[in-house]
Amino acid sequence: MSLVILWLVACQPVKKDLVYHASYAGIKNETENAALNKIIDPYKLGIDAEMNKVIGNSEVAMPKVNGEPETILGNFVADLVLEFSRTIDQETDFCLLNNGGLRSSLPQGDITIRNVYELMPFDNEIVIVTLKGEKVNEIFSYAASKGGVPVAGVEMKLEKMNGNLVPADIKINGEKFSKERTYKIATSDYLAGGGDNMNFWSTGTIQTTLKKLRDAILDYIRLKTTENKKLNPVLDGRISIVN
Amino acid sequence: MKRRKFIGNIFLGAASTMLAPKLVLGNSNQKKFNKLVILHTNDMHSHIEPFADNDPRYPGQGGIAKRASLIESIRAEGAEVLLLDCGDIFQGTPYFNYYLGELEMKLMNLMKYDAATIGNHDFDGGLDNLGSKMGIADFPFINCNYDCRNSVLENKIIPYKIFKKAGLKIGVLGVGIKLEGLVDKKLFGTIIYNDPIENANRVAKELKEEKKCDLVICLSHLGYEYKTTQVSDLVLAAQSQDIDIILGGHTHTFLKEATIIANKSGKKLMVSQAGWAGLILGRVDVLQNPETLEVSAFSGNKEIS
Repeated sequence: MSLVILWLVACQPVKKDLVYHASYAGIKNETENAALNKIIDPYKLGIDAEMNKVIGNSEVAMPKVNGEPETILGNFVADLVLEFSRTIDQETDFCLLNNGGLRSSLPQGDITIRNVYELMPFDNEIVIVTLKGEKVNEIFSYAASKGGVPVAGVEMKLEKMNGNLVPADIKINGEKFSKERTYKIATSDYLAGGGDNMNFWSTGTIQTTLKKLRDAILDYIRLKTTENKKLNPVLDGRISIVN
Repeated sequence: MKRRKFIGNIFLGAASTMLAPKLVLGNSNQKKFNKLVILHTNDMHSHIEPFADNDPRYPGQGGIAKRASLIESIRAEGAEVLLLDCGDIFQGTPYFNYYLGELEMKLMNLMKYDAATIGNHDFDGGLDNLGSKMGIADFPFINCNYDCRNSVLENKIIPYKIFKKAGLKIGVLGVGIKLEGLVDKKLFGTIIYNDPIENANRVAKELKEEKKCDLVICLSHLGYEYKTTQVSDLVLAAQSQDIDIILGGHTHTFLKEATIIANKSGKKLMVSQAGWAGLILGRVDVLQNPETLEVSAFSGNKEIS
């Protein structure tokens, strides 16, 4: 508190000087630097032809947003990863990813290969982890502590308890979650290896799919295009915060 | 974004008593002031080009060629500039998938970056790639809490560098985030993470006391703040002793201006961070009164649009 007061007092005499010293006044930055562009151009040329290819179209924008229990972007990616994983192992129960791994937004309208690279620049592969229910329970605690993560095949509520969020009413594909059985979970090899401090996977059995997440996203969007469909992911309340 | 924040006297040269700021800045002959402009970026994540016009969050914003023009305009004002980056230069656009950071290094050379620290994603192409790309850079990579012995980064990363600009002796050190649980072990290999607070304080003390630096800047990729007890820039700031300014990254935190924190002794220091993807340019102006040798700092970050 004393710091704040000191700061306020100290602030008063210098206001006049702020104008003098400040300032981006008169500085224009809307122009691009030609010398840099000259260096960039050959590199840009090497990627543009491939990266600017339009592979699909979305009815809705899928912004990368933080601090929401559920996002359109998270639902979109988790749903398609679960769908892909079930083509490898149809018993895959659900999918869980992390928000940090989704790096950029997808726009409304045309989707290019570049958009998908910027969403998923990593070469991480999809894996299916078989895990005992007790450990799966830790996954949901983790998901709650993060205020929600991208999931598919899961419905859960996050309850506020002593300032923390804890999971409640967990359903897997419409059925009540049971600690007594094992589950097969689609995720990335990065997370299954303990990435983002996900320590609960280590007792599981990992099945590789050799499919990069990025390629699964690209394939899905292309498939929808061949079916003459636009992407239209929605928020469906799969994770919600209750008081 | 044009407002500048005066943070008070972040360091007193020879004098040890706190003078009222008005005595410093109320001086009518302001031209005598030594002025250093610190510009900083973080988490540029290979965002070379501006965001697309249809991007849902940042339409048409950013772009490294615009940033270069802004930096050039600031240099043209005449004050000496220290241009710094706080890590995660790599990974995020096809430019990294295709060229593994080569273009980022060339462009940073062209903009005349003075130093950078290492972020977790700078390991994404593996240690050998990071080492070879550092070879392209005309500027040093600074970190004092990664033990890089017996790796290709040995001798490529330095714990600190001292710059002499605008009549000031400026010590720049760097700290990085815990790699285990964040970066695939295959990518960071034998690099050992050591306590960032202990090491930052050790190096800062050396810079202040032995090397007699007027200003100590810590480049950090620890992250601005966490809900948990994880070490962050705010935690480091509160437990620090000889650091005047922490410039950070990792959490992609957009600050309009630096946050002022009291250190272990109650002395004020600045913590700033400039978003990510080259969307804003961080700026701290440091002014030194040539008579009292008193140093004051202002901060104000600017959007690149």
